[in-house]
Amino acid sequence: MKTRLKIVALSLATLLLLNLLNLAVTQAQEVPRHTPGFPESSLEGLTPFLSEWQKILNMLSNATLSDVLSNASAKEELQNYVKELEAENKLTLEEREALKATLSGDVSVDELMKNIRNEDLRNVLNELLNMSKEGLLKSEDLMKYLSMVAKMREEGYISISDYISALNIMKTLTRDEGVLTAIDSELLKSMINLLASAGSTPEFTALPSIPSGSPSLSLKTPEVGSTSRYLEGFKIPSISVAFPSLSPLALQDVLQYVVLAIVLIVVFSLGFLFIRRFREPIARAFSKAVLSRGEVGLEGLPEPIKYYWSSVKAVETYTKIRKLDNVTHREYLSRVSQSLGDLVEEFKKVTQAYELVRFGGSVSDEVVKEAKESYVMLVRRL
Amino acid sequence: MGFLTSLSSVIFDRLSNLLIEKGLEIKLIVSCLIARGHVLLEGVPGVAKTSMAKSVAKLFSLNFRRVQMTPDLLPLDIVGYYVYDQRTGEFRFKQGPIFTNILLVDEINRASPRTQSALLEAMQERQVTIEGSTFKLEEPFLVIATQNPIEMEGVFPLPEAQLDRFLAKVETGYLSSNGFKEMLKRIDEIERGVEELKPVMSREDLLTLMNRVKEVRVDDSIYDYVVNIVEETRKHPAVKLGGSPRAGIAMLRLAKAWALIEGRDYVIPDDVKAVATAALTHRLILKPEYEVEGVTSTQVINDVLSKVPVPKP
Repeated sequence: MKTRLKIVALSLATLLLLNLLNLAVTQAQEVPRHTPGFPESSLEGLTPFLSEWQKILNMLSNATLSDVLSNASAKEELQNYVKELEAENKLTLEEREALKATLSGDVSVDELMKNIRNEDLRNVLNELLNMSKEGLLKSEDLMKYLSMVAKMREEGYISISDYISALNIMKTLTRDEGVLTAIDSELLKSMINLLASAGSTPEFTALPSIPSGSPSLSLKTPEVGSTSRYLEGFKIPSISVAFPSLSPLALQDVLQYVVLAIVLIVVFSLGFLFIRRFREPIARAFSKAVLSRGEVGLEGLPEPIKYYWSSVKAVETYTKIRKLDNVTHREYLSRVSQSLGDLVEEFKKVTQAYELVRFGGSVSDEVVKEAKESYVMLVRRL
Repeated sequence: MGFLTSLSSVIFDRLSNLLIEKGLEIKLIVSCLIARGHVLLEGVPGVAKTSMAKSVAKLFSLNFRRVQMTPDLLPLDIVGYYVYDQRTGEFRFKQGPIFTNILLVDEINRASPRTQSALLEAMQERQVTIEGSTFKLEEPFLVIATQNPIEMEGVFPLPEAQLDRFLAKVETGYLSSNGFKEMLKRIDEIERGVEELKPVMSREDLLTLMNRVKEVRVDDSIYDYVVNIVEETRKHPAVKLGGSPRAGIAMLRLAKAWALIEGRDYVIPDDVKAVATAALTHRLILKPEYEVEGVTSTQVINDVLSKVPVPKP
């Protein structure tokens, strides 16, 4: 029994471990999710600094970058925050360049263009620059291009750093106040969004490799389109294939589940041990209840009827042929006659006595005696 | 009566060589006879319907007559009529074929509704009234009416109310290949055997036996069983019109007669099961959609019997 208990506990522990591994793999595979048209982060989880900024920005919906940068202390705060993020390595190179260009305002168009990774965006901007050089760019055209680029950003086609760089380039192409205000406003929102998303990024974005005996073992995210996933270094499927999870869980949630699982294991184990002590008495009481169930309607009835139904139970057990509710006593006798072999004669006598007493209304001593003898013989031989 | 000695075994001894594979039909006909009922025998031509009727008559030393029904047959041709006797100058009653113990009415559905009605009234009343005079029919009186289930042209199907007057409907069919072969081998012997069949009991003994039917013991649980079966036919999804109270009465009477010829003076659930199809099959009206699907009354009754629990304990 102890071995069985160990096996159960080990199985549960293995399942728990596999589930944790599965969660880890799923988290490793998780890609940043962002619904276009919505800010990449919400107020919840932002640093106090950015929370304040976002609140202010929401209140001043018409605020522009120029308004903010004209305030020396605000500009300094923003620059300091960017530096902090840089120090914590929370910004990519492109994002860093885009933010610097926005805050300083003295980066050349060529440098901004180099910072843009999206080729289509670069083509659009080159077209704009050519139009500007030729003097064909009107404010209305620039607004249309601005809308187009904003839409590209909304649809997630271009990154936020590309978008900021593009806005900075566009800003150099016009002196129209209305257009500049629109661009500045977009720049400010985008910059705050970028800082917010960088500021709220977890400490780690990728799962660290698991230290093990095999240096090559790591939970590597499979490439898109690959049909099977293997743990690197081992030719076994990763857990995520075998146990797909619905959604990734944060570590604290995982820990909650771990604690819950441990509690459940302990409770079940203790419960199992507790029930084991009372198993025998419970089983005895249950079987007694089941056995006595068939005799409930037999109280007060003549003996041959009791003998018959007891014999039916014994015959059912012996032949494995159940007497169904729609089967008569003669039909049942006929059905079991072959399986009973030479015992059929005894069962036939019990059946005849039952029929005579039950439906014929005869309870003579001779019938009772004969039924008893046949019943005793039948049960003894079965 | 012993557990195994029975009238049916005696009948089987006599008929086993003559009516091959017709044991159940013979038992049901004899049950109807003992229960004072009438039988509707359904089967295609040439399946020993006449031989069965004739054999039953001979087994109990009874008179036997046969009428072939035709559309132009009049009620008078069945029940009889008054003829003027020139010698005496009086009208004299000439009995029709109905004045017998066992009357085989061949192809009853070929007779006109008027003739059918006259016959069925006589069956029910066990007497005929002609010109204001009533004539009692001799006991026992059993009508075995046959009808062909295939032919539908030029026939007058019996209405449900008239079908209900038959205590049992016995369906008889073709023999198995082995039975057919056996019959062919011994056809001359069978024909002669039916003619020379010795009675198993006299008419008086039969009447005594018939009177004993009402003494057959029926346990209360058997009444419940019959009620449950009849009620279950009304609940069956394929049934438009289920068993009537008369159906239950018929089933019980048949079961009692069946028990008696089995050598018992009490009814067991097996008796009820044995006669259920014969007692109910012509009393159920199925829904057309199920009939089109090929569902038969016999299937419905078997279904009902498989659902209704037998008396317990």
